Amino acid sequence: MEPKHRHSPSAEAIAEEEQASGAGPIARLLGRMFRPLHRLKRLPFWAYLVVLGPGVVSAAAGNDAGGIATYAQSGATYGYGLLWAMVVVTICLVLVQEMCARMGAVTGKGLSDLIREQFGASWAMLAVLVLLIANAGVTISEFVGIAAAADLFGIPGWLAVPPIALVVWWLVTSGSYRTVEKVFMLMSLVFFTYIIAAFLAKPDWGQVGTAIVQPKIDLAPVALQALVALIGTTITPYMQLFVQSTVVEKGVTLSDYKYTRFDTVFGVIIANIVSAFIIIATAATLFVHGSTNVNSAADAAKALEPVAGQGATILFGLGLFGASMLAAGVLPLATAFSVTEALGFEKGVNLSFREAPVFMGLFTVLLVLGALVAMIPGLPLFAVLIGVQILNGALLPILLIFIVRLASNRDIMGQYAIGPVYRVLAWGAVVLITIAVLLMFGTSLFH
Amino acid sequence: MPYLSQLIGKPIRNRAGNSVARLRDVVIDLAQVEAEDGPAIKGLVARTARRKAPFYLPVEQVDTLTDEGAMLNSAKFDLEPFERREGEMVVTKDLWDRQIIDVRQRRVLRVNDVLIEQTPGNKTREWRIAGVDVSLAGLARRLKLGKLAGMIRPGASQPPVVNWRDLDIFGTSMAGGVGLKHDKLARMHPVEIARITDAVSYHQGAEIISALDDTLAADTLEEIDADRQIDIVMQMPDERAADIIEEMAPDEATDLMSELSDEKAGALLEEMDDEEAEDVRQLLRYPEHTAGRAMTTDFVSVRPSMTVAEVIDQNKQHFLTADLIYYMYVTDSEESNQLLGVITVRDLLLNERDVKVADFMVTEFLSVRPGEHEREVARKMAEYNLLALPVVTRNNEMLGVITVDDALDSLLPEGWKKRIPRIFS
Repeated sequence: MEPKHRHSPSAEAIAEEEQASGAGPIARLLGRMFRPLHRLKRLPFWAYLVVLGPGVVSAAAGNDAGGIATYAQSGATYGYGLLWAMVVVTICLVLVQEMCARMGAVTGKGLSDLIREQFGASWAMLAVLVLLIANAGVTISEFVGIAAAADLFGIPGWLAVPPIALVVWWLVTSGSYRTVEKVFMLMSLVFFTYIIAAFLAKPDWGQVGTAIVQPKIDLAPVALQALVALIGTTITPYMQLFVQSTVVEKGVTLSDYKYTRFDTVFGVIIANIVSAFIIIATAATLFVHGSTNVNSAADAAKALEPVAGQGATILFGLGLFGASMLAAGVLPLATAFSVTEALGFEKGVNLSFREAPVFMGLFTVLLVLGALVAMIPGLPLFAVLIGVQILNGALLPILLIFIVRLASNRDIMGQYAIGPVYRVLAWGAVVLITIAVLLMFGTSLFH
Repeated sequence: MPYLSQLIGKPIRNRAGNSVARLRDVVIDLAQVEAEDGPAIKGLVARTARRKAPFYLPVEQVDTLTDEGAMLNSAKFDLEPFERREGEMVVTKDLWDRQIIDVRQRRVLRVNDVLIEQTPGNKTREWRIAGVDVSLAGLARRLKLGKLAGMIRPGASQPPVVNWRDLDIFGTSMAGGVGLKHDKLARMHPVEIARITDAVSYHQGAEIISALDDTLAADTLEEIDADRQIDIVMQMPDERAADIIEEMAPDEATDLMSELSDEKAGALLEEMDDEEAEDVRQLLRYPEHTAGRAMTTDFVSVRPSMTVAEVIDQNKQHFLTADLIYYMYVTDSEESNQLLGVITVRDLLLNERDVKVADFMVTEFLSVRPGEHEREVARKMAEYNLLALPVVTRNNEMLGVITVDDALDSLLPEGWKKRIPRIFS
């Protein structure tokens, strides 16, 4: 033991200084309460409830262009007919998101890492491929959303999309995206107004209630496509990876997992309540008046007329733009990260093209692809938005099987592997979703 | 020099040249994993066409092992069924697709394939895992996209194979793998090790830090950001964590402790040496972002009556360990601890050995109070170009020293040191 030459001030000196600096017990308590947000996880539970805001906000902002289009279309075409499905899908989403968040907390690893380590390189490549296709589709849908929003303001898509794509590219590569992100998030909160719109439209609440509890299964191919689109946009493949990596990124471990679980489940429920209200609002305004097809953003905006009257178009346009911009930057970036990582290349936006050619190339290609597709003249924007969600839904079972198998694996999850009841529920969700997808393909083929 | 992916599925022939089974896997001894040239292969796992269960072939029965397959040195062999045993590593399970640390390039990589080499020398038949392939070509080979593998040229920035002597593997999630020595990590700078713990899971981070010697572990932990520090410390047994925290600078240790739950902090303080624990307890009493919290109590103090020679001789050990030795603080006595003046290393070098400290000490100096905000302290340092400032009470009692690096931390925006967020890892 080396000699220590440390100096201890007298106790009186400290007591005196404490008083002098004015940091009494109350000041210290206040200091503890108003810690920066990233330390939330160490706060007591009640404090967590008070500041729950961010979780809810980000969940609600998760309703992107494709989501809005799908929910609006569903409400306009089938009225309240698919509300029961929202309930089932919400339960499935809660299960899936909880499993992913739990895996993140228990293992400290991302989903793609776990798939690679547990199932080997071939399966990992399949997962990456699924993700690449699904995310490329969603990226396209975000730019289509931007084009649709521009359309509402009278600017043609081919004119608006290129400069916006450039701006997004620049924002992300220069690292300023995080700063402007909040503005887009705020804009996308517009969709909360659908809740008000739904109430103002005075729907028949009895019918709504019946529709929620009484499943009505329509085996027509179009109806099944609408169902799969609803599944695909609510349980998006990338969201599962995103949840898990956020948990890992925030450094959530088992000791503070219970707050994360609460946040995850609560966020899902809030987001899906908003989605359900989009369906109710469009059903009560468009469906009941016989305009059962939402072909454009302008049609979807009509559902907001009870709230905003003439301003409905502007309000909807702002929300659509914000929601699309929010995902247009994050999604290609996240996809490029996961693909390059799975392949083992250098990654990172702070590297130049020469240093990380694959990462930057992939990011740029995804962005350009999204922008180019959105610029095609005469493209049926809403049909593309919903088509992408059908693709998402069709690819989903592959990813879900990985998730459930990993979450129930005791080798990686130890005692925190999901129990028998949970396992039955989770597999039930996978089976239900797979059946819906197979039915859709089956009926489409034989029709 | 075959790769494991080229061996798997290849025939195993007996002396007569008849194919008797197909190769499925290779087994190595966990005890050999940290061998300099790479672990020797202990045996093969194979499977016959008729039987479903794989069986084990000790390497002693193997004559050749190439990308054509294996040849046995006898006509007969046991069909001893293969069972995974404690202390063994099954390469396709425990090494393929796992993360490794390349201590030479200082980064975390994933294993795409494994390179097998025969140990030179005629008498012994011995094969070793010489390195791991981390290239895209290696991945293509694994996926049986042979043509593609040939097309991919190794990038200039990434040598395709990491030699075993330059890599370190994780024991977490491997049966019986906990307790690896991780000797090679000591070749890296604490900042680099810290960056690596950030790129892996918190379990793996804790595994690495625990394996380092106390001083290096403490230096590394100091470089890790607060949230991650806590995740890692929570994974360690209290005893081990306390050993490491003792070696941290008192101010860094205090920052860490203040983020832990009261129970955990209490348990750790209990485990720590009394003296270090007392330092931390003292500092914990000051509010966050004040000079009192950021200061270190580890500084060199001298008496005015000492000569230059005495100062040097009596503080030899302390000069070795203290964070900052450029300034030395002159106090009247250990008990009342009144700060009288400041001397510098330069003074010691320029004055004769028998000159007394009182004769050259500077008595006009700047000091700060423990309640002062860090930002204010940093501003003063920048303005007067100082490396450190003494922290004193109203009655001029010396409490500690705040150094320029700690003060600067407060000026950097939150999260400044963090790089781009890892979204999918």
